[in-house]
Amino acid sequence: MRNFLHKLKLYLPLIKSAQTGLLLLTGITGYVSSHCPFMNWQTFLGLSGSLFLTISGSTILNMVYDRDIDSKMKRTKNRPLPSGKLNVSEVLFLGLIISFAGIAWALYMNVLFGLVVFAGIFIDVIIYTVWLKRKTAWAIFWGGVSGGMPILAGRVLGTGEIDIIGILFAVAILLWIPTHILTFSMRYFEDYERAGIPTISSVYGNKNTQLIIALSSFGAALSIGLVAFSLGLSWGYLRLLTVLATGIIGLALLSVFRPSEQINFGLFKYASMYMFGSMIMVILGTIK
Amino acid sequence: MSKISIINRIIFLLTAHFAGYMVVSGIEAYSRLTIFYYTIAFGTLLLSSLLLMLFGFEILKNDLIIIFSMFIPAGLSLGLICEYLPDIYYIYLAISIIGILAVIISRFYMYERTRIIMIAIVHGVFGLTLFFLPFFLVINGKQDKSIIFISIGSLIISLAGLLQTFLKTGKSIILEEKFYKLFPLILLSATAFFVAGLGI
Repeated sequence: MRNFLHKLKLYLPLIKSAQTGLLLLTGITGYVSSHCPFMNWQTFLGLSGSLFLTISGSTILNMVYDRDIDSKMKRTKNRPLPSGKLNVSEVLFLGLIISFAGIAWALYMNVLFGLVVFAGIFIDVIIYTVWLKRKTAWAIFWGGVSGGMPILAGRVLGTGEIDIIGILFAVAILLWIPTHILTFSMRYFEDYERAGIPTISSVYGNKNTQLIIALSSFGAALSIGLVAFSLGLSWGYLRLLTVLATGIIGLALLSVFRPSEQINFGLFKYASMYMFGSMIMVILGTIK
Repeated sequence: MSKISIINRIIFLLTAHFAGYMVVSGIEAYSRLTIFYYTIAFGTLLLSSLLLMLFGFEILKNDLIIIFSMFIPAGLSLGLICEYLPDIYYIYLAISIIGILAVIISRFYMYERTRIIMIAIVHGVFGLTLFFLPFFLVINGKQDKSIIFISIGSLIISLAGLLQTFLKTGKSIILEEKFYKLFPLILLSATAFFVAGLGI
């Protein structure tokens, strides 16, 4: 039992619970936004379960592939894989099993939903991590595309088709990802340099990166606002979304005009808070 | 500078929830323009709470935050004037805009002493309006007694502003540590009083 708990403690960080949780929330938001009878527990369980498995699986597979990079970074060198606390083949096996289980469950529920879920994991693991991450700073775009798949999948499960709202949702996440990732890569600039990973700030400089962050934050806020408006959310929710958007745009502009380490990391943290808050607003606004 | 404790974070989160509730549904009964002003006020309270959670008390010393925080009394007092004293609304709006612009200009182009005087005057005008207007409305039978909660809220937040100004000028009447310990509760109670005065 003690051994099992010890192993579980080592395995848990592999799924990056906060990131997985946020992506799962976006998937649920996409589904609830379709005005489905979301209290249908079988569908809701299937959506949550399949997305949780696929997102966790892709995160584990990424960790396996990136273990050499992680071992070079101060921030990640103590993770279970680069520090040798876990067996690589064992983790790879687990990642594959979880991913396949998630995709199979999703396909069983609805073929189109399953295909979008599969596209998400394929783009994340194969295109982003394996193919592009070490070659170009623009790999982040594909990271954004894969990040937008859970919300699109949730919407597809609810509506049975890929509609304009689902695409706008995915675009919102795609545009939000640079704010999330670029602020992070700026904070850990030296780590990324040491590992030889090209980032927008290492290739184009901090000033241009901050400009991209500001533009993408504005785009993400605009997309979420458009989706909320199209979904017919009440003015109260739209007002609150505007307030939250003012926060992310304001901080992004501050990072351009008054750049500092504190503002940069504050923006990183606020971006997650913004996405979480916006998703909750869309859920509450739709249910109401 | 004291750190933000878990309890402080919870208090700021509660403050943000109160303010968020007001923005979403607590001010629906008012006219469109009044809703706009109250949204600015409660939106600023919400964002202030979130930013304090993220950046800590250090942020209170930032020049931009001082300007930003002015939107709380400005939004509330403009909302009250717009709703209950429409005859003087445009005069008050003009005074508010001039006041806010004066504070912004003074932050960038004037001496520290002038800046503090300027912000004290402008905050003073907003604060006095927020404090006395509810009493005036109750005495004249235009509003229910519950609106007095706004006066209490404005009194609490004005005291906090005053204490912070003293801290900034180096003539503090309260230790910095103690001020920051009290600040989350001050913000929460002021917000709760504003909610009670306007939303219920």
